[in-house]
Parts: sequence; structure tokens; C-alpha cells
Amino acid sequence: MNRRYKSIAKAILAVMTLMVLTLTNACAQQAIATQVLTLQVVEANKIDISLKAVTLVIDQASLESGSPVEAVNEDGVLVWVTNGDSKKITVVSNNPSPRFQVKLQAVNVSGSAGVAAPEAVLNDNTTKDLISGISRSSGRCKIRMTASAKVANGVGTETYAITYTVTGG
Amino acid sequence: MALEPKHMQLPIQSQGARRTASCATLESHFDWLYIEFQHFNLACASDRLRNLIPLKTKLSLFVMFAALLSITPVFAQNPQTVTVNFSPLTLLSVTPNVNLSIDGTGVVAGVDQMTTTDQSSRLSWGTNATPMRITVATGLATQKFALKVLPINVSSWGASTVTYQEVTLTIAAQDLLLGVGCSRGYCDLKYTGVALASQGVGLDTHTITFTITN
Repeated sequence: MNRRYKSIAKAILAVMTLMVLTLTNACAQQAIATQVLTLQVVEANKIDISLKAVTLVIDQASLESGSPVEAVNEDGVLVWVTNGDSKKITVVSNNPSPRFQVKLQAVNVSGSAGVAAPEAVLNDNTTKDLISGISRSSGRCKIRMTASAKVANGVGTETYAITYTVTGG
Repeated sequence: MALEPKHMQLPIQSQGARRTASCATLESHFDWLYIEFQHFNLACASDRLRNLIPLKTKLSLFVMFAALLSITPVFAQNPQTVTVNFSPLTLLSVTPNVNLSIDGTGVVAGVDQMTTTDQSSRLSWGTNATPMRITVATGLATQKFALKVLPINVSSWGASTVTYQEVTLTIAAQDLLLGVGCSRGYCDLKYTGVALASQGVGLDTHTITFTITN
């Protein structure tokens, strides 16, 4: 009987030793290295216009009204993205006192990316709202440009540098 | 009379002592150690000197030498089995800190997703065990922004071919490099932070854990 207990005890001891050795071995095979990484996202606003140069030509007149016919262009596409809140898109011209008249309006604003403002008249070099109510979104719209002139303005060429900006609402 | 044991052999019985050190086994057996005394001439080569040393003195010297020789091999007589076990050794290191920022650089107008990358980190490893892999996990349970890591410029010297994949970090460990067993090597880590415009601004601080394991 005692011999049997001794045998069992020896077997248990052997198994335990094996387990300890295995565990030690497994631990020795593992190594760990750590690294701290911070990912910061600050406010980012981007805006772009597809058509970098537009030429509007007024070369017709209406016999009914007696005024030159407006020239219209809707080829430009404005795209933007912002992760900020309560933003708007403004537009400004560098021409403080234009001879002819240029008007801008955002049309077909995508989804819920913002609300188009009424047509902005670039009659000076002050900033005008184009789209408002933009928050944490990307969007796009067409830019409708309308150029008009009066007979009294005569003929000529004017160049406008127009700047679009995503800014605080 | 000159004592000139020209050739002498001392058999030494082996008993076997085993010493375990640390993968390869180095064994050296010396079953019998033969000590040969060739040209062992206790008497002086010089006849003149030989004549000067009395026989009694010569015998005494021989006995002392024999005794010395019979004692000295006791320290070297056991055959010895030396087993050298190289324990599994694993080393892993990574350069400490990385700061990623999405600040408008690289942001594309009209695209909701904003990304930034960093590849200044280097991960180095060495292991004599196989099969082994390197996993990666973050300690940040609730992430506002997604963070991905891709091993690039992987260089490895070893028995197996190292494969790797891009991992989007979670708190659960995921395989980053496979087949790193019995090799040493390094790679650069390309981190990509991804934020959507709709997620706004914020800061995630990750404690990233790399583990080399089987």
C-alpha cells in the first residue's frame, strides 16, 4: 500500500515539475515592448474649386429690354471638408470698385452639407456669405456665376480674383 | 643505475559527471585517460650528473613522482558529459513615443476621411525559439479615431520567412508579423491615423503593446 502511495506521489511530483518547467519555458519565450502614441485631431478645413479660371463674355443685347444679355457659367464645382462646428463658406473679390457686375451663388449643395445663401454681388472687395450651417462634414456644390453690364458701362475687360474660405460661422 | 621509464600509461576509470548549462548539447567523453610518459628519464641525461646522484636519492625522486602522478589525475579522471542548453531567448524593443496629428496637412477637400501617417518607429526582435509571431494591441478601449499600423522595410535574418500585415489596433492582440522564429530582425512601423470629418476633433492616447510569442 505504501509503495503504491509512494508511486502516486512520485508521479504527481513528476507532473508538477514538468508543468513548472513548461511554464518557465513558455514565459521565457515571450517578450513585450510598449510604445505610447498620441493621435491628435485638430480642426481642419479644406476647400477647393475645380474651375480655376472662368471667362464670362457679354456679347449680346436684348432688343426688348435694350440691355446687354447676362453671361452665365455653372461649370465650376466647389468642394470642401471641415471637422469643425458651425462653419460657413464665404467669398470675396479683390476688385474694390468693379466696372461691370459679377454675382455668385451656390447651387445644388450636396446633402445636408450646408445651406446656400442668397446670390452674392461682388460689387466691392468685402466678404460675402456663400453657404452657411456647415458642421463636421464634407460637401460640394456648383458655383453659378453671372456677369452683367449696362450699356453705359461701354466695353472692356475686368479680372477678378475670387477667394472662397471656410470660416467660423 | 638509472631509472628510465621510457613509456608509462596510467589508466583512469571514467565515472561520468553531467553538467547541464543551457539548445545545443555539447558532450565530451573521456573514458580513459592515458598519460604517457615518453622519454621520461628520471635520471639525468648527463652521465656526469648521473654519477653524482646516489641511487637512494633517485629512488626517492621516482617514488615522489609516481605518487604525484597518481594523485594529479584524480582531478581529471571522471569522464564528463557537458550539456549546454540554450534556453528560449526572446528580445523585443520599439522606439518609445509617436505623436500623430491631423491638422489639415494632407486633408483633401470634398473627402470626409482625413488621414495622417508616421513611420519614425522601429521594431526590433531576436529569438532562438520557434514558431514565433509578434502581436500588437492597444490599451485604449474606447477610441475616437482609428489607428492602423503596418510593418515596412522588414529585414530579417533567420530560418523562416517573415510575413506581415496591416492591423487596425484594438485592445485584442492581433498578429502583426508571422514567422519570426529563430531569427533576428527589424522593421519600421507605419502608423496611419484615420479620422472622419463627422468625428470632429479630439485626442487619443494609445499605449501600444508588442508581444513576441509562440
